[in-house]
Formats: sequence, structure tokens, C-alpha cells
Amino acid sequence: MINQLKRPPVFIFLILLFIVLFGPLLAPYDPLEPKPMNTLAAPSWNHWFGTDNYGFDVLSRVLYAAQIDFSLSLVGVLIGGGIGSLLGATAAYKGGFTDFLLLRFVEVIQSFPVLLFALALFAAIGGGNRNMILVIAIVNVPMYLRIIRSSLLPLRTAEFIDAARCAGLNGLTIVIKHFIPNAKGQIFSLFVLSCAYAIQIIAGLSFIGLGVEPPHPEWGSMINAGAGYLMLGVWWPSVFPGLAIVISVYTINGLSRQQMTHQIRSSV
Amino acid sequence: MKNLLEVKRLHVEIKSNDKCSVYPLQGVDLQVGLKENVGLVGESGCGKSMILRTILRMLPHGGYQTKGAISLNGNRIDKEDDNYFETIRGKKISMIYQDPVSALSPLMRVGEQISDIYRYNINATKVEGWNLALNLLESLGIVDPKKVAYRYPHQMSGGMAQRINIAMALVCEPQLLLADEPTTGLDVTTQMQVLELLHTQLIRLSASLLFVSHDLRVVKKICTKVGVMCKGKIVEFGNSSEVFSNPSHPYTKSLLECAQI
Amino acid sequence: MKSQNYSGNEDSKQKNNYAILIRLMRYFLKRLGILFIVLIAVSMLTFSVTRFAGTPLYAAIGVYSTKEMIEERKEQMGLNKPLWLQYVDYLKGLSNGDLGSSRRTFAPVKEEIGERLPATAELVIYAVGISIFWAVPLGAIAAFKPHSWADRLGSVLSQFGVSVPSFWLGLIFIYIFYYILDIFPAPFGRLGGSDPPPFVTGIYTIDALINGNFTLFLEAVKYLAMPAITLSFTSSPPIFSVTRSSFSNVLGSKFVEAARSYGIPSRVIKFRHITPNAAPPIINIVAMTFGYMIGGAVLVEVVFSWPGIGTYAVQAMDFSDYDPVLGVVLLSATLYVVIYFLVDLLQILLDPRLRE
Repeated sequence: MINQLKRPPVFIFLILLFIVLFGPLLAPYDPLEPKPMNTLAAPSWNHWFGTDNYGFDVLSRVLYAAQIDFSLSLVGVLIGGGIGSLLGATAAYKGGFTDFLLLRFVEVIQSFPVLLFALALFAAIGGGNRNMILVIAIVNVPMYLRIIRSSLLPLRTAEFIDAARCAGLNGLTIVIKHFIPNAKGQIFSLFVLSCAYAIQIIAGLSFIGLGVEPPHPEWGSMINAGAGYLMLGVWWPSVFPGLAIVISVYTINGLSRQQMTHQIRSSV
Repeated sequence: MKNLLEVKRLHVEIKSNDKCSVYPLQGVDLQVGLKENVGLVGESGCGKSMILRTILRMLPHGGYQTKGAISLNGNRIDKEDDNYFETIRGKKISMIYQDPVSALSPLMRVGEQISDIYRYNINATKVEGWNLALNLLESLGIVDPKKVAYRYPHQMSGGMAQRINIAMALVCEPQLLLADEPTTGLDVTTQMQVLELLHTQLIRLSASLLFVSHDLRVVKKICTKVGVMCKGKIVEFGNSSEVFSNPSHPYTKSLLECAQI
Repeated sequence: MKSQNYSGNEDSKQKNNYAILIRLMRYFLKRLGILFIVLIAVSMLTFSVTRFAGTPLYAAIGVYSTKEMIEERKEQMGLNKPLWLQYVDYLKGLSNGDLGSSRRTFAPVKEEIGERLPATAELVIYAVGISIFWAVPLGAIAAFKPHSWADRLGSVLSQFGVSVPSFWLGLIFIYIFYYILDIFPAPFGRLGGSDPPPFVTGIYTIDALINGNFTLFLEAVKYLAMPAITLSFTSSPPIFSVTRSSFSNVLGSKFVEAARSYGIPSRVIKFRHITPNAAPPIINIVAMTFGYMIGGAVLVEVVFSWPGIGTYAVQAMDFSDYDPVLGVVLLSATLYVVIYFLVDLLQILLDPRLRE
């Protein structure tokens, strides 16, 4: 286990986790305190990442945004993943028409490109953090449903399920307590990946102005705010938030890869 | 009398990318004489299939022969380059596999696959190859060769597919046939048909057989000599009648006990 | 050889060709049925959004309306009918191609999408083309030689492709290649000041070539380069992965080993055995990527001010103009589902095993 910790992906991930949890404490400035005298200042010792067009310190905003992005994605994935797993297990367990129906339902959701789906949803019920979580959740349901369903499908006829049924347990209990735990590994690795994906979605939506509303710091909207200045040579308001996204997603994916190779090796 | 195939002190290592290696063969000695049927038995994972693959140099990625020698008709072949093996495979030494349907390309019609062997081994044209393929199917006793030739592998029964595989392996009349559990997975009646075909064909070609199996009954039936393998080494080798009735190595004894022969 | 009658054993395995055809027809009809169900569900979703997205009623009337005027308008707009009838009207409209009108420009959405679709199509076609160009060969080499430079390069590019936000990458490209290096033009559309070529397909590069206007073609390419590369980079990881794993699977399969042992030369094996068997999943993922990207190119379009359906939807959103948004969403979803259906059928065509 200690050897695991020494490996780069896990190590960097822990640093990332630290930043996410304690970002606000590390931030040198208040992310919402504008300094009108000091707008668009290049990176310096005072402002490691420079300042943006309102005079906000970019570094502080990046650190605060980490919390917002991660927490939104986490909650969304937990909700969507939870529902998706349950539905997937139900589809595998019940089979027949329920299975058919659930698969069609998921196909419908998956036929919408994520961003456009979010656009349509926001058109219907407005934007904001809560609906952002809803979008993430809905987007995740199909993935979890499909994967849990395919890994549990072969177990549908397993003996321990029959045994549970004979013992008189009702369907829902069986599904939750006996069926789903068999897909634990799948659920976990999917979880890690979907968090990374969710961060991309949140950033993308905030970039086009939906989702997290400015002036709240969010990586995507920061990139948007800085975009116009990029062509004038002011690169720091956009580049640093983007780097944060790249590092976060890359590390999280790296962690999942690490997990997978570890699983494979330990099962040999 | 020279042996057809001689394997001396063969060691094989398989390096995986994270620096840990597996050693499936740790010093194998065996000989196959002319017109001889030699069996190789042992439990799963003891390395018997690996020997066959090493002889034809078809080791998995990362696999190397580290020590030992393989000779065919007295000439060392393990030192030759890969191009040389393309002259050996199918022509001097051939191999048949356990799952006959998987051994055929799923997207190609059976007739075409047979025809390919003629086209690329004896330079037949496409038309010639196809006709030769039909002849081959007919010689196997297949009633409607045209219909069968147009089929895809998954549309055949295991028995027919395996007989076709055997025929394909023997097209160029090799001296040695390697067989990796060819009857495992077939039902008993089909096994008989396949073994019968093997038997007649080998006699016709005066070819030898190296037959790997974990089914001791089959080996006892068709092999004159047998080698017992355990963990990458051959622990006992001799005439099959002697080995089966009077095993000397303790592993052989326990193997025979488990199989209740 | 003794001539034995083996046909008794084979009769049970002999498939009547007629029976296969019937089975295929049933599968086709079943998939078609599912296609319709999904499309209906998609339309229901977009329909419900049109009902939710603020009452169009008040926006159409204005502040000084009397109750009678409101009622009259309601009747006129069909808002008094039961919900399911409204849905049927909606479907009728859709079958005529009526996707509503933009509240801002008052032009029919169908027209405006039609004007912008070629731009998106051009971008997506080139992006997928670029992806295939590098991801498929690299994936194949990576499968043939695991842990080689190809494998590692492809893996790293894939991982970055997934980690980098497409809009940010676009901005970085603009910064480097326009601002610093001045290689590519400023991201303000598909052509600089020039007039577009005479309309044939709407795809400027093709139209320019058809009209023999090589300078215009080059100009279109210059403007296309950055957005296409950006879009390609972030959507190619799955293509690389699938190519690599597909070839890897086939390389490890028994029939490849058997073919080698029968003496078939490796060159022949590569073309007759390996590639046809490795191809179906790759074709699958390329088609799916294409289908997804029609709607999924939104962010890249926005960054490069590319006049496609993506920017159209986003701009409309900014003005709370919902018909265009839903029109684009409906179109993308429909295209995706149809492509998915076609790919499914293609799989059966390619793989005889699926016909059982």
C-alpha cells in the first residue's frame, strides 16, 4: 500500500486533493475582492498568476474554483451514478420488458450531445448550480446503467440470487444488498472517470455562460472572461484555469489507470 | 537412426513489461522419430503447448528461447531467422489447434481459406486453388463440397471444422504434425472420427505426430511414446505402454491415479 | 479415403438461406421500430421543453393586452387544446420540417439551420478525417508493437486529448499560431473578407475546388485548420483506443496463429485476416464519433466564431430564444440516432456471425 503511494499518479492526486480541500485557505487573496487599480497585471511575485480584467487575483480564483468544480462534479456523479447503478442492476435482475424499456430510455438520453442537452435543459428550467448538478447526474445515468447492467447480467442466474429469493427477500433488497456489490470494482473505476468527465462538462457549460454564474470563480467561466484578452497578448487569465483543468483531469484519469493496472496485477 | 525432431535442454522465458518474467519451459528434452506418434501429457499450465509454439517460433509477445537447441532432421532450426520459419511452417512442420472453429478466420468462407493454402504455398492461381479446395473437401468424404466451401467457420460443427483444419495442415505434406489438444472439446463420437482421420493421413504421408493433450486415454490410444510434463520440465519419457503400466516418476503415478487409468 | 455419409450430422447445422433472410428482415424491422420509438421519445423531450421554456404567449403579445386578446391568441396558438393534441400538432409540424421560428430574427429555424449546417459539417468532416489519419495507423502500430514508441505516443496523446478542454485548446492554438507565430488567420469565421464560392454543397473547400478556385480553397483551408485540429485532438482518443484494442484482440486470436502455422505469409495475413477482422469496431467508433460531433462541436465553434449550428444555438440561448436551441438539439439527436441505426446494420453486413 505504501508502495502505491509512492507512485506519481497517486502522489499528484493527493496533492490535488489537498488543494481542493484546503484551496481557500491557501489563497493569498479574496477571489471576489476586485482591485480596480491593478487589472490585467502580468504574473509577478505579488500575484503568481497575475490578475484578470476586474483585478481579481487569478491564483486565488483558481484555488477557490477547484472546490466549486470538484464538489459540483462529485455530487452530480454520486447522484447520477447511484441512480444509474440501481437502474442497471434492476435491468440485469428483472430482464425482459423492464430491461428493454430501461435500455431504450438510456438510448434516448445518450442520443443528445451533452452540451446541447444541457442547453435544452437550461432553456426549460433555468441555469445555476442546482441544475448543473442535475445535468451531470442525468448524463451519468446511462453510462452507469449500461456498465453495471452488462457486468451483472451474467450473474442473473447465479445460485446465490436464487438462494436469496428462496429466503424470502424482496426484489429491491436483493438488488441492493446482494446484486450490486458484485460490481463494486466497475463502479469505482467508472466513478473516478466520470468525475473527470463531469469537470470537463461543467467547465464547458460555464464557458458558454451557463452553469456557474460569474463572479463566482469557476475554471470554465474564467477562461471565457479571459478569452478576449488572449488575442491581445494577455494570456494568464485564460491559460492558468485551463491548466488547472488539464492537470485535474489528467491526474484523475491517471489514478484510474493506476488502479486498473494494480487490479490486474494483483489478480494474476 | 536420426531423429526427425530433437529438442535439447530447451528454456523459454517470457518477459512482461514490468520487468517480471515467467519461465514456462525449464529444460525440456524430447525426441520424435520418423513415423512416430509421440504424446505429451501433463496438467494445464505445465508448458506443453509452449513447446509446440517454440518449435514453430510462434511465442507470445515477450517470449524468447533462452537456452537449448531444436533440430529438424539433424539441422538446428532455432538459430535461423524468422524468414526461414516461413519456409518451415505448413511445409515441413504443421500444427492443429484445440478449438477448430476459432482456428479459422471468422469473416472468410471456408473454401477460400483452404484455397489460400494452395495459393501461397504452392503458387496456385485463385481458380486452381478453389478447385483444389473442393477436391480436398471431397476427399474428406463431404457430400456437398461446394456448399460447405461457401460456408463460414461458425456455421460448421466442431468435428467437420477440425477435419478441415487437419486437411489444411497436411496440404503441403509436412513431415511433422504438431497437435495442441485437437480433440478436447469434441464429443466422443466426433473425437473418434477426427482421430481416425489423423491416423490414416499420417500413415499416408509417413509423417510423425507430436500430440499434446491432458486426456490420457486418447494419448494411450494413438501414441507409441509419451512424455510427462510437470512445471516446464519433462519428468518421464518412454514407450507409452511402459509409462502407463509401470510409471517410475511419482508425478506420473499421481497423474495416472487421478485419471484412473 | 472412405466415403462416409456425414450429412446426417450436418443437417442440423445446415442453415436454410431463406430462414436467415427472414431473420435478418425481422431484426431490421425491430431496429427500425426501436429507432422510431427513440425518435418519438426525443421529440417528446424537446416538446416538453417548448412548453416549459417560458410561455411564448406573453412574449408574443406584449404588456397592453386585454383578456380577450390573450384568449384569442391562446386559441390561435393552439394552447387550449389538450397536451397530447398539442404534441400531435408539434409532430405534424416536425414532419413538415417546421422547427419553429427565431424570436429574434423571425426567420424559420429550419432555414437558419440549413444555412449553418454545411459549416458544421465541413468542420466535423475534416476533424474526423484528421483523427482517422493519425489515430488509426498509430493504433494499429501500437497493437503490433506493444510498449513501442507508437504505443506510448498514442497513449500520451489520448490522455491529453481527454484532459484538455476543447475550448481552451482552441484558445491556446489561437494564441500560439495566430498571435505569436502569425501562421493562421484570426478566428472570425470561415473566410477572411472573400466571398464564398458558388454554392454546390455549402462546404467551402469542396465548392472552391469544384469551381477551380485554388486560392479560395487555400484560404478556406487556412481558416479551417485550427478549429479542425482542435476538434480532432479532443475527439480522437476513443478512435486510437478502439483501433489499438481491436487490432490487439485480432492479433492474439487463434485463427491468426493458425494461419501462420499453415504457412500463409505474414503480409497476406495482415490484409486478408487481420484487417477485415479488426475493422468493424473501428468503423463503428468513427461513425459514432461523427454522429456525436455534429452537435458536440459547439464549444470549438464558439471559440473560433465558426458559423455553424453550435454557435447558432448558443447565441439563441443568450437571447432566451428557445426555438433555435431546440431545433439544433432535435437535429443533433436525430442524426445521432439514425447514424447509430445505420452502423448497427453495417455491423451485420460486415460480420456473418451476427446473422445467426
